[in-house]
This record gives sequence, C-alpha cells and structure tokens, in this order.
Amino acid sequence: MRSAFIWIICLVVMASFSVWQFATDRTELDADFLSLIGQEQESNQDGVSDIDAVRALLRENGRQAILMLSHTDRDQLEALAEQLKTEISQIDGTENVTLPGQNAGRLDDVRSLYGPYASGMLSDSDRTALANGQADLLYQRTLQQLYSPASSFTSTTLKQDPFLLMPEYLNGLATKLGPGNDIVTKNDRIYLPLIVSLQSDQSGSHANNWVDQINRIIGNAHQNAPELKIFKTGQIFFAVNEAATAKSDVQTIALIATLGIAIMIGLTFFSVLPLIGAIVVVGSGLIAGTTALTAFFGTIHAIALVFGATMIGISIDYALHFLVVPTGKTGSDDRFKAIRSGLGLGLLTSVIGFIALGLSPTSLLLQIAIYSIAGLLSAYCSVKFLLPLFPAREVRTNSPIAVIHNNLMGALSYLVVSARLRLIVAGILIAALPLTAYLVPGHDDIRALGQSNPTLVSDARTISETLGLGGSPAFIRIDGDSAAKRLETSEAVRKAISPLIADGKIQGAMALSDFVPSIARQKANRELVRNNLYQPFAPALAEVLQISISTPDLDAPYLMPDQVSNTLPEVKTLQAGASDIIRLRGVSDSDAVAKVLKPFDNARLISPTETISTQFAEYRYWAYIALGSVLLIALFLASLRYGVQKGIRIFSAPAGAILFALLVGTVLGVSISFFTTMAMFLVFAIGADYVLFLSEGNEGEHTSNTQLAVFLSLISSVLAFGLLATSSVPLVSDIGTVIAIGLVGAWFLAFWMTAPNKLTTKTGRGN
Amino acid sequence: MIRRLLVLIKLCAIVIVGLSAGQLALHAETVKPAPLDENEYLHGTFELARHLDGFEKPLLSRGEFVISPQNGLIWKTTFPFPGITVLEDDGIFTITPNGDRNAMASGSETRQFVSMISSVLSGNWDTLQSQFNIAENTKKSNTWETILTPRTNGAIATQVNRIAASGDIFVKTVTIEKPSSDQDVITFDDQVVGMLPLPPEFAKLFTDGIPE
Repeated sequence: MRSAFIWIICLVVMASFSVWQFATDRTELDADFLSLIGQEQESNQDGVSDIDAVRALLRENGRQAILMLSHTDRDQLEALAEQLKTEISQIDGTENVTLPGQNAGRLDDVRSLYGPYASGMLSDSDRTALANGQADLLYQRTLQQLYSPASSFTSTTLKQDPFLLMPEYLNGLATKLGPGNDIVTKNDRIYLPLIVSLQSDQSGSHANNWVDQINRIIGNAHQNAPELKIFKTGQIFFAVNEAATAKSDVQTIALIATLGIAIMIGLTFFSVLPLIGAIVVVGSGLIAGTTALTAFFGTIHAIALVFGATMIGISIDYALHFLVVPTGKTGSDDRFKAIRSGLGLGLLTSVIGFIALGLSPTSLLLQIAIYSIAGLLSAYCSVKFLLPLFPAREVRTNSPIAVIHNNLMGALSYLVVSARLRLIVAGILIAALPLTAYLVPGHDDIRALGQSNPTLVSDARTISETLGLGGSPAFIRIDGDSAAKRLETSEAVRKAISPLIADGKIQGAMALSDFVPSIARQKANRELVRNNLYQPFAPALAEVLQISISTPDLDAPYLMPDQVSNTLPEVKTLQAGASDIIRLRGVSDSDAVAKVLKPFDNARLISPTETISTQFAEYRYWAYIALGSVLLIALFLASLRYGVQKGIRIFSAPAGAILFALLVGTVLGVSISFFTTMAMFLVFAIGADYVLFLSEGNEGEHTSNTQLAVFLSLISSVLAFGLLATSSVPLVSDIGTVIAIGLVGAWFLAFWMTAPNKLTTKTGRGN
Repeated sequence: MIRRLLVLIKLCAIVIVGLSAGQLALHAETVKPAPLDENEYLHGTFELARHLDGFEKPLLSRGEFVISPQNGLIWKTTFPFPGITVLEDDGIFTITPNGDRNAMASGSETRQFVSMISSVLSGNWDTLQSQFNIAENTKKSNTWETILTPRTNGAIATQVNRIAASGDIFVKTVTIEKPSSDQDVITFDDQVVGMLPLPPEFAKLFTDGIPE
C-alpha cells in the first residue's frame, strides 16, 4: 500500500512536471516535419548539412502561397485580383500580398546600395560589348538615356555612374532571374499570379484557419465571377489537406478501436473495473514517457510522441496479463507473483530493444527510445503497485471471448508438432529473417508516405507550367573556403546552366553572385570600364554633362555579400552557413542539371525530396541495426534462461513475426520505409511479450489464463492497428498493415513454439 | 527587378496628361479635356530641360513626339543627339540611330503605364486619383493649370514630389519636381491632331508598326 502511494505521488509529480514544462514553454512540441530530422549531422560536419539547407529552403518556401487567377478579360482579371488581394490581406496570418506590377518602390535603396560600386556592376551584354571593342555603342546609349523621358537616373546616381551602367546591370539581373511574377497570356486566357507571404507561425490551427478563409474567398470569387478560374499551390495547402485526411482517419479508427477494446474487456470480465485498470496502466506510461522527454529535450518532435505513444500501447498487454489472473489464496500479491517473471522478461527485452534504438546517432530515434523505455517502466510499476488495489474481477468462463478463445486453442492444438520439428522450423525462420530483410527493397521516398489531394497536385502542375512558379524546390549547393571562391564558382555554374534555362529545362535561377559579383569579376569589370569606356569617352561625356568625371579606382572597396542583405533580404535565402545556394525554379530535367554540374568539385544539385528520403533511408538503416542487435541479445537471453534449443524456439516467435510482417507486407504492396521498420520494432516488442508470457506462464491452471491474456492482447492490438491499415494515408496504412500482420504471426508462433508436446486446454483435448 | 523599379516612367504619363489636354475643344468659357479618338493621333514638338541638383546647366533636349491611343508614344529627340524612345503596350524601347531596338522595360508596370495613358486619353482623370491628389485651376478664360501631388503611401511618392501642368488649348508646360531636388521642365509646341494611319516614319517605330 505504501509503495502504491509513493508511486501515485511519483506519477502526480511527473505529470505536474510535464505540464509545467509545456506551460512555461521550457519544452516545445515541434510539429514541423523537418525540424529534428538530420540535426545529428551538425556535430559531424564543419559546415551546414544538406538537410539543414533543405530545411531552411523549405521553411522559406513554406511561407509562400501562390494563387493563379485566370480570365479571358485582362481588365476584369486585374480588378478581381485587386479585390482578392484586399480580402486576403485581411486574413489573420497573411503578411503581405503581391500582385504583378506592384512593389513598394525600392529603387532608391537599390541605387544607394549599388551606386558606389557601379563601375564594377556590368550586365553580361555590356561586358561583352566592352570586351569586343563596342564601347561607342554604350556611349551612344548613355547619351540617349540622358534625354529619354523614361530614364530613371538622378543627379546623385549620375555622378556615381555617369555612363548609366547600373540600370542596365539591374535590367540584366531581372532577365537572369526570369519572369515568374508577371501576367502571361496562353490560349486566349490571361493568367495572373497573386503571391501571398505568410507570417512565420502558420501551423496547426492557424494554418487550418488560414486555408479555410482562402477557400471561402475563392468560393465567393467564383460565385461572383463564374468566368474566373483560380489555381492554388503552396506547402500550407498540402500540409493542411494531408493533416486533415490523416487526422480524420486516425480519429475514426481510434474511436472504433477504443470502443472495440472496451467491449472486449467488458465481454471478458462483465465489469468496468478491469477497463479502468487498463486505462490507469496505459495512462501512467504516457505520463512517464512525456516526462522523460520533457526532462531531456528542449524540443519534442511530434513523430517521437506519436511513435512513443504507440509503443507504450504494449503496456495494455501488461495490464491484461495481470487482470486475467485469478485471485490467489493470499490475495492480489499472488496475482502479480504469477506473472512477475513473464512480465519482467518482457519488459527487459523491450527495454533492451529500445536502448539499441537509442544508441543510433539520430535524435529522433533517441527520443522515441527514451519515451518508450520510460513509458514501459512506468506501466510495469503501475501493474505492480496500482492494479493490485483494484478489486479483482474474474474472467467469466461463459463469456463470449473466453468461449471463442477456448475453441480456437482446441483447434490450434492439432497443429502442434514435435519439439524437434518446431526447432527446425525455428531455425529456418531465424535464418530467413536477415536474408529477407536484405533482399526486400526499401522505399524511402517521402512523397509516397502521404496522399496529396489530386486537385492540389493538378493546380501545382498548372501553375508551374504556366508561370514557372512553385514546383520542385531544387537548388545547387556551392561550397568553398571563402566567400570570394564561392561567388566565383557560382558565376561559373551560372554560366554552365544558362543553356538549360534557355532550353526551358530550368524555368529560372537565383544566385548570390547575381546580386554580388565576385571580387574577381568586379575587378575585371572595373578594368574593362576604365580602359575601354572611361578613357576614350569620359572627356566627351564630361562636356555634355558639364561636370568632371573621375576614372574608376581599382583599389576602391568592392561590394561584399554582407552589405547586400539589409537592402535585399531575399539574398539571405541564398546562403546556408558557409555554403551558398543557387535556387532553381521549375526544374524539369534534374539529370541534365546534374550532368552539367559534374565538372564542378564544389557544386552539386540537391533535391529536397531526395535529401529527406536519403535521411529516412539512413534512419531505416539504423533501425535495422538496432533491430538486429536486439534480436541477437534476445536470442542470447532466451538461450540462457530456457537452454539453447527451447531458447531458439522461443526467440523464433518474434523473429518469425517480423519475417511474416516483412514478407506478407511486401506481397500486399506495403512500402518498407523507416516508419514500417519502426513498426517492426513494435512487432518484436509485443511478439516477445507474447512468447515470454506464454513460456513463463504455461504451468497447470495458469496456462489457460496466460493464453487468454495473450489472446486479449492480440485482439486489442489488431483492433487498433488492423483498423489503421484501412486508412487512406499510405504511411498510416502501411504501419497498421505491418503491425497487424506481424502480431497475428507473433501470436500464432508464440503459442506454437511454447506449446507442450502434450497440450491440454480447458476444453480438455489431450495431445 | 528593374521592371519593378521603373516607377519613374509613370512621370511620362503625367506628361501625357498634359498632352491629352491639348485635345481640349476650346471654348472661351470652358477648359475640358476631350480624349483622342481611337483613329486619331497627336503630333508636336517638345523641349525638355532636365535640371540636375549640383549640375551647372540643365540637360537640354529638343525633338518631336507622337501619341496614338492605338499604339503608344514616340519621343524622338533631335537635339543635342538623335535618339528615339518608344513607349507601347509591349514595353519601353530605345531605338539607336542605326536602328537597333533595345528594351528598357517590359511587363506589368509598363502596361500599367500605358493603361494610364489610355485613361488619360479618354479624358478620365479619375483614374489618376488613386495615385495623386489633383487640383485643377482655370487661370484665365482659355488657360488652365493642374497640380498633381502623389498620395503619401503610393510608390510614386518616392519618385515625385509634385507635378504641375499648364496650357491653353494644348499643354504648354509640364514641371516635374523630384525628391532628389532634380526637376524636369517640358514645354510643348506645334501640336496637331491627325487621323490614322500614322506617317510611315513613325508607324515603323512601333513593334506592330509598318515593317521597313
């Protein structure tokens, strides 16, 4: 009783600690898919990992939503766009809305930035002209612009840049960056992009609300102008849609599964007390798991919480294992003693498994492991200290579940063969597992995990094809010892990919070197301008302008990248730590890009989806290593306790269950990804519990109770995970399918491998 | 980027405001803009004095212009150096003495500018009211003056402080004051309204004009 009291105090303290951690923001829950993935790489590399660069890029992209409006009448289209802009600007979460032709007028800032360095800022065409001895054309252009009504120079810029080279440089820059944010006409329809920048905290309910509002505005716009078509794309639309689908599926499934489990326990005991006991055990596991994470980590990843919570679903097995034991002569103490060894071994095996998982160099897996270990230890303590406090409720022998179970056991007993034959089968299963794991191909493409809405996919494609916006967010990573070297590499890469841009294989590109030429180039430009333009034409121009014109000083300071970011904050997205990135738009042939980059040692194409997929492939690899290690440890422990032959048979149950899940899952088309490999861990942990419970509790009267407890565990697990298999979200469905298949296999093998040669059940069949 | 930065070109629209006012059907007691018809064009001469802060003398240029609602505006400088600037739906171009056509700007901003011209040509001053505070003043029975002050939050306010246009039956003077203390003073003369087609020497300067 005293132990129970102390344990309750511990649970209350743990729960209070967790609430305090969350309430005071000492621990944050991060639902961002990418936030914790790959963080372990930072300690392994000097610079920024690819995944960090991808994360930064996708986060930036995630703050942008694109609407493409289409109409047959341009004036009406522009009027409707203005109206939509006003409405969207008023939505909570919108930072700003940009329409073609509307800008805050940053000309002065840009002129101030480039003015002092104007003689080093040459457009490609001006550089070519000067190099080819056509400086007279540039001089003629200067004269023409001096008197043109559309010139944008001022007295200040004219003094800094008397030959008006900077406007041409900016013009060339606009050409390099490509069209994108402009109105286009195709097949007699006009298409107008409306680009929305979102505030940075748009996730969860904020994102839902924002998307709801946008959909309402679009719906109203369609009603008022039937001719208007609106396409939309952006991470926020996909994320909200996929989250809603997954949430809806899981909620429905969880409700049905919970009801099913409650009915199952009710039909077994004809009482709600065992159900409450089970809830207490599972709840204590959740509390301890969360507390452990909040104690060790400042940020908890949502994936870790979800997987951890699933893992400690094992704890309901602990509760059921206790609850089916009848009251002994000395009360509840006897009940726990009857299951202590099985429960203890089951816990030990699972904890070893999760320790192996935690040893992997990935913070995500470490979080899952810590959550699960703490949760299972807590569940064990609750079974030991708290369940004995509940008044015992015996399994009703006439309950439908007990009747079904007895009949099933009777039927299965015919399948039991000699121990020797089962040993051979166990050996085959154990040998087949690593071979199968090696041969079954992994599918780590993250695009296959979710189920994107077909309309959103179609809209994204249309917008990409029409405006060159959205689409694949690929980029080129430029490494180098110094900023100057990277800019030089970037310029060379820029030149190398220009034919691909011309061919339409890349819709557009944006590099830091577009905004800040390398010092080598600035110096070369200055020399060219001084020798080929100023020296021959400055005297004539000075006469026209009636001012003295000084020749550019080659030793004057050059424009550096860190001077640009205040005026042009966009360039911040073109740097990732000690690397520069060239952002690519609308890449339709990544092989061609990769081929062009081959000669460059310090430049490589990075596709975010491939990078993330590779990261998950690495996680899958570590999960396999951990799973293999824990299987070996389990084999060793089983051999120690039961002897080699029986140990192999017992161990083969969880190993065979994993094999079964792997084979049948593959046949059914389940993608073997990191997530399904993690599901194998659950199959192992629960399968090990089944076989250990049965092998530890197969003496006399207790045998049938243990078998019933394992059967109840199976029903509860299959209810939960089998229903997940019906989800429309591939990730959820895959996990559910693998676990459901694996657990059925685990249950059968646990029974089959532990059954005595002369099997006796309550139905009275003797073998 | 440059497309977004060419707010200054809107100044030209203001010039056109004045030019279109030259279409006034003059009556002694009223001064009211009448738009050019779709099949009309306006031809005249100009003198542009560009006063630059810190420069001893203004940059002075002279030449002729043509404006056509269907095509756009041609600004042909003849003094001190020959040069042509064409403003049309497709963008803004300069045409060098040897016939090379160089794009200065294109895109939505340019179209907005051209759209503004059309609005002005149609005599619809209201379209400028979103960007300017407009004060009209009839000085005498047959002359007028219009002061346009950019609205504070508009992008054009960063480029222009004040525009003053005045004239009689045609626009005579447009003064553009800029935040940089620079100032353009344009005077117009010899305006004549003609019927399309444009003379070939002008028509060929537009993108969809008569091929040479």
